[in-house]
Amino acid sequence: MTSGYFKIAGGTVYDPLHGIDGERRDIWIRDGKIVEPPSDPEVRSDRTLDASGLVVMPGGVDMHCHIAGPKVNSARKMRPEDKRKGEKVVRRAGTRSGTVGSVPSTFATGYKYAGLGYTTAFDAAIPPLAARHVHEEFEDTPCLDKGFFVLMGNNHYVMQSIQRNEPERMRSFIAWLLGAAKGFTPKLVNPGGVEVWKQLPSGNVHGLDETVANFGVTPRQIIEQVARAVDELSLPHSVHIHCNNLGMPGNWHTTLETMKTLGDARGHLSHIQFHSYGGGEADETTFNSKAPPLVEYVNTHPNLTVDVGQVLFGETTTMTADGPLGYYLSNAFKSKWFSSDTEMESGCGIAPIEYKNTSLVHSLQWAIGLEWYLLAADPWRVVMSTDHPNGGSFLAYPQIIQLLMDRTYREDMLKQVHPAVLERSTLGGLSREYSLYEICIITRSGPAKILGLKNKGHLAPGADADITIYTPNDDKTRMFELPRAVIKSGVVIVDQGEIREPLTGKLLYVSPEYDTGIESDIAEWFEKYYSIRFRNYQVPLDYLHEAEEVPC
Amino acid sequence: MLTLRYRGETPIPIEVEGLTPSAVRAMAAGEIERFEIFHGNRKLPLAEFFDVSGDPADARLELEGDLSGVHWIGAQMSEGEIHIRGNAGRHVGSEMSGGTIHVHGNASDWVGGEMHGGLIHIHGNAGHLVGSAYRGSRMGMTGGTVLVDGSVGNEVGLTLRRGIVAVGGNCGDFVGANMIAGTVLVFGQSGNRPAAGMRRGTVGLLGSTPPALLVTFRKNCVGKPLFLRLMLAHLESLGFTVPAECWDADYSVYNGDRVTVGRGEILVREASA
Amino acid sequence: MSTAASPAKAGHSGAEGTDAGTTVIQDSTCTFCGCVCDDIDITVKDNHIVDAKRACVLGKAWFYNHHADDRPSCLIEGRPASVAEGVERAARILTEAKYPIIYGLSDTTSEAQRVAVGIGDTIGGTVDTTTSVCHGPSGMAFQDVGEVTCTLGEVANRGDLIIFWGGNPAESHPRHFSKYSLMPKGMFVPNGRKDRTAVGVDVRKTKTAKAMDLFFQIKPRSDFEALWTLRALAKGIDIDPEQVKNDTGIELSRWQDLMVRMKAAKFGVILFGMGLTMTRGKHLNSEALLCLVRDMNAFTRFVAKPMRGHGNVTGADNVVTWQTGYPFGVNMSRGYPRFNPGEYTTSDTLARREADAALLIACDPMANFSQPAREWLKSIPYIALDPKDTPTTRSATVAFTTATYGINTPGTVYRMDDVPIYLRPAFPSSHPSDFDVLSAIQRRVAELKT
Repeated sequence: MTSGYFKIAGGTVYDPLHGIDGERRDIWIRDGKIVEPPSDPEVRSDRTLDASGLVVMPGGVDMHCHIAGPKVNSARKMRPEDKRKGEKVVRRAGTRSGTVGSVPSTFATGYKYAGLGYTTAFDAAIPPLAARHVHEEFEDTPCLDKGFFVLMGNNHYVMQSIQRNEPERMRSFIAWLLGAAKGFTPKLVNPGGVEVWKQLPSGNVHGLDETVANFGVTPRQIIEQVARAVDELSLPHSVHIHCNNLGMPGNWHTTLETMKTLGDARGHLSHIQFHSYGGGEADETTFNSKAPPLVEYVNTHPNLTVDVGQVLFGETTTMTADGPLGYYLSNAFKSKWFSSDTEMESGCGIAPIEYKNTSLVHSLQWAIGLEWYLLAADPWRVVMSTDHPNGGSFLAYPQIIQLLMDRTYREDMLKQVHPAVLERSTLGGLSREYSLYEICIITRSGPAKILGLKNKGHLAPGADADITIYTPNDDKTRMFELPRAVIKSGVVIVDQGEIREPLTGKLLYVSPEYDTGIESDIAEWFEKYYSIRFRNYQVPLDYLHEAEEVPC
Repeated sequence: MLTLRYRGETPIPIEVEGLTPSAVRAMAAGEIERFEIFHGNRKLPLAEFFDVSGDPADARLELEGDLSGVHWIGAQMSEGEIHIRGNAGRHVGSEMSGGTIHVHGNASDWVGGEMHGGLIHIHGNAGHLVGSAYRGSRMGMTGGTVLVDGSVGNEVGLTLRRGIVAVGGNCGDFVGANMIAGTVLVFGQSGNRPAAGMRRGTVGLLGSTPPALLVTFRKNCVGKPLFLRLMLAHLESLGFTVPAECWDADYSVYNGDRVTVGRGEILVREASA
Repeated sequence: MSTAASPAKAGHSGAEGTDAGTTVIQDSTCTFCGCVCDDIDITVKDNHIVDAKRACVLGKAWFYNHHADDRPSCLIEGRPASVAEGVERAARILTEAKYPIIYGLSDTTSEAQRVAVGIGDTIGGTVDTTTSVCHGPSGMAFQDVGEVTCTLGEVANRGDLIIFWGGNPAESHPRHFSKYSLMPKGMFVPNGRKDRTAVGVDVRKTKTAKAMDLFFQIKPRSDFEALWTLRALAKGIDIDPEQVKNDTGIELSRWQDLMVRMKAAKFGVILFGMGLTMTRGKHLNSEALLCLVRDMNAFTRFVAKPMRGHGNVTGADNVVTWQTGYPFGVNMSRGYPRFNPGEYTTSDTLARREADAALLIACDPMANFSQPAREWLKSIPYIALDPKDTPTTRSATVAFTTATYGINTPGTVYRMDDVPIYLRPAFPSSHPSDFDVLSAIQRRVAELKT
């Protein structure tokens, strides 16, 4: 007679959402969820995992990465050399083979994330025209629950609605579009700038108040109005923003303006490290860190959240919906370059990159990311990321954890980077060390909360049974690289580094209400300018393997 | 000297990566016989296809037989000598960093693919992509020398970064394409579009009937470049036969490829007076 | 191991309007060529398509020539057998082989392609697609230099200078001009054809040439020289007019004029075909074109698009890439993916007699590969899946007659510009789908391999 219970016994539990900071507790699981212990004390669990002395955390949540869709796949296609010498994922009885490099193949992506104790990941930027492609890749990316953000910052209907001063129409469109693609929230990437790129050679916007030709809107308007619409729709996650002027010296002004533009509206600014630069007019010799004033603004504005976008030294691949940025990077590094403009919606740029610790700029980028973590007052609002793979691979997350928890390790690395980092950033003087509790926040509890996922990132009854168990180790990289066990939906999917059961995972999406009357207007606009039929654009629910609607 | 006599009669690829002089040097005979190689998707011991005899201690391997279906011979080797008495397959000396390989027969494609150092001497013909990059790589060969007495196919020295490739016979199209630096010399006839996309470095088209060059190469001068004589002498010292007419000939020097930074040169041998 | 939902489940027949035994299905998709037109209204009567509104001549042939038939779904060595027996025999052939190859895949759904790659993984085989005999060279060029491109709607909305190089879309992709590249009244090209300049570059005057404003009939096999001339002109490099004329057959002044137009365009587009990829130079021809387009972006917006042939060859590239990391010619003998065109591509593994078994899906190498390749293929055990009876199916050890994608089965396909489109089938077939047969084979090989 089975009870259906699975118990994780006596682990040292971290559940920051409920203020649990390393307490010895049991966790009860049933039917894929964390549940209250059985009321009848005679009831035994079918299985018990003895977690005494082990650290137990909710499964990791990567709220900003690039793991699926046309952009990611083009990067895979473009870089056979990146994989030829890289790690190989060998086929086993229950698992598929794959390749890694900086843009792993889909099965490898799932296994590797799970191998680090991650159980949820969100792709940061998808043009809705390619939604089906993402859903297909997601089905081949096991072990994770997944979702994606829908690119809207250069969407023609959005810009048109702003120009015509039709906020309700825009709001309805956003709601419709999220449901049509089965996406999670609007994503703004270089709002307005990519449309200018499509119109002009090296075209871009350089400030929030530049007008996008032929649309008569400014980035500021796009940011403000989409943010407002998102809050009016009560979407679980806020608008997600890749600010204009990414990577440019002096861009901290743009970032601050973006934050101010949001006002009280919720907003998440992604890979904020790339947007925290002081310096003169495109002059890299004055390049310096402006993390402190930006952190201060975020500290004092609880409506704002960020993920860091940490840079790590080594080779990787930049991939972004920011078309002009891709062009800029490939010229700067004289590397091969992929660019694709998606009609009506977005752009894309891909270029290989190597971050070197001998480079002043790269060293500062590395330092600025760390400054963000170390200066931030509220770990709930500063999420760990590398903007995988732009700043580095997600496989480097354990190393970032060690940099945050181990001041000596950090200082040793600081000695090996470009010396200008000491004058141009405050990193040299920062002695803070993160606790396990705080690491738990920035890698799972915080992002789950920011995403509005009530069943993720914590360990109270009702949560999805996504749990990671680590063996404590002073070497934090080792500790976080090799969890003792990873549980997904109540199933042990990774056991001492071996993938046991690669579940497919589910798709998390939103489908906010909207005035269906708008559909005829959308259809008319759509049939006029899109190259596929309106009826073939939407992704029906039965296309998806397993999906869960997150309520608004 | 360790002798490996090939007994295989299979068209299914046999792959022997890791079978290098350094690897087998300290192995006992039994261990060598059990060395894992691949026959298609089957992992098998070396003895399945080779008769093993001799002593590997001097870091010299002799492979005998028609090994045109055996691939990756000498891949990644760093020291020692390999002699193939017969033909060899693909990827001979791929990514090697030191040591010497002699193929006393023909070799297939990708001889010396992305090698870093050492010497490969093919005494017969070779295939395409001699001394070249693998697909997508930012650069190809970064050091070492490849000598082919016979003829070769297309894309010799593709994206060459450093090192020397010398071809006694003819070469196919696109010799030295996308070359970054280094030297490729062809003593027979060459196919079309030589040095397309070349950045720096030297391609010598030293045969009697040079091909048409691309329109983005511009004739600079005619002369007897000293460095070429030094290079020819160096090749001879390595056991490569340099045709007599090359020593005192006049050479036209063309600069290009001007669609790139264009600081490379093609040397074309002028017919003797 | 595939967790892909059966496309049969994700029903999307979209059948509307029934009238006395006829059904009209709107917004149906034609998968004959890479245009993947999804605006075809098909009328079905008695399991036969009697009308295909808006379909071009190729599409009509595609739709009209599919009827329900009662050929056996499976033949083993030419004799009718059950599908289950065929699956068993196929699984044994594939698991016993030391160098099994899987090839084709361009005329089936991505759901089926995903299963096929999984089979390749399990059996330690080599997976290759028809890309390797078509735009594989363009894929290789892309790996060297990248690519600047866009979706076809951008061409329709912005493209004002359209160059067709080495292809004949008027005959190979009949609706391309009207739907995407020349006729559409786009957002920034409101007067349609009048706002566009059409340029053709080819070695012969084809039907496409007649539709062009300018035509460059270049010397055969001089595409590379022509592209290099344009690259030089773009960079303002001085070149010898006599050599240009000699190399390309076209006066320098004409190329200069073309470059002026290219720089003056707002959004230039070069659509290129087999004339580049399958003539001397191959991937380096494609690379020259991709470099030219990249260079042009310093002056104005410019994009390149390979004109993909079969309905879902783009899907094959995408699926093989996301599952293995590489787009075609992927060997998994070692238990992990390796890529090397010329080594693991099918015309090579067959001609060199390396393959000892094959699984061929929706392709016909017996009709169009080289003599050595065909001779070898005939001599090894192989399995063929095809809706049609072909030279390839006739010599197969196990031949499955499968349902036709898009006509009988739903599923996802990728247009030549990577846009995914879902199929609305017209009528059911008595034959199993590729997905069904491949899934059964996959289950069985997984059992045999453990």
